[in-house]
Amino acid sequence: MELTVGAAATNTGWSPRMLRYLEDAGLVLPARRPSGYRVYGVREVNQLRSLRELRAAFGVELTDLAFAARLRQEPGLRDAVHTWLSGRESALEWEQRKHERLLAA
Amino acid sequence: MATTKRYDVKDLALASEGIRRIQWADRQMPVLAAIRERFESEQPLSGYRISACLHVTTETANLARTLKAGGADVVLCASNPLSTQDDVAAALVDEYDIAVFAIKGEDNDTYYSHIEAAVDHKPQLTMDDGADVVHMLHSARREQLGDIIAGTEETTTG
Repeated sequence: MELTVGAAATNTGWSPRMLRYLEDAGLVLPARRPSGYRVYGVREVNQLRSLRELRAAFGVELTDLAFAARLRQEPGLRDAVHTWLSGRESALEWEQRKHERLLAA
Repeated sequence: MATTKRYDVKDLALASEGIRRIQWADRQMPVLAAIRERFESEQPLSGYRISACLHVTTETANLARTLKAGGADVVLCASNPLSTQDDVAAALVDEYDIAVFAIKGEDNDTYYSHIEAAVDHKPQLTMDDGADVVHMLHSARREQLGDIIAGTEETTTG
């Protein structure tokens, strides 16, 4: 299966504009013909079809998905976010909770 | 120096900064350095397996080095996932050939899998800060209790 932007849009129910947005956001990346035209294969069409379902099931927005894609592609960002989330609790607070658990045991 | 031991640290590339900081701390720990020197010649811990579950920081790094210098086969895991210094963990593995299981910010499952890795070492001596290793030995690993000679427990928060 090799579909142009227009055909892929008709096939999946998204607008051509949305397809370009999804490409810019790094979410659904069509191949390019030597002429520069976008080509959507089976994988991309399946991604486009399941995208609506994914949004409905988990209540995530496209910007959330775009950020999730960045987390997969940028190890530095992933580490920084992980550290920041972990940093919500300090080592001392963790230590105090551990000792409270020990005393309760 | 590459190690053949099992380990789980964030990134071995952090080792050079860890070495620098461990050595700096070592210069402020003259008593431990003197003990290490004595251990190197006397080898009092030769043949003993030690599992230590402590804050993975420059200070405990020098303690682990000292135990190893005394002949012990040491495995170190974190007693608190948020105090681990990833560069120190990397240096212990890469430069000092000590098995470390600790990653700053590790989730609960990883934290306990690292304690399990330390217990898998089949220790004869244990060192705890918060009783994680002895707790595992007295619950999930009772069959290993016969191997235990002694254990230490310290507390850093009172």
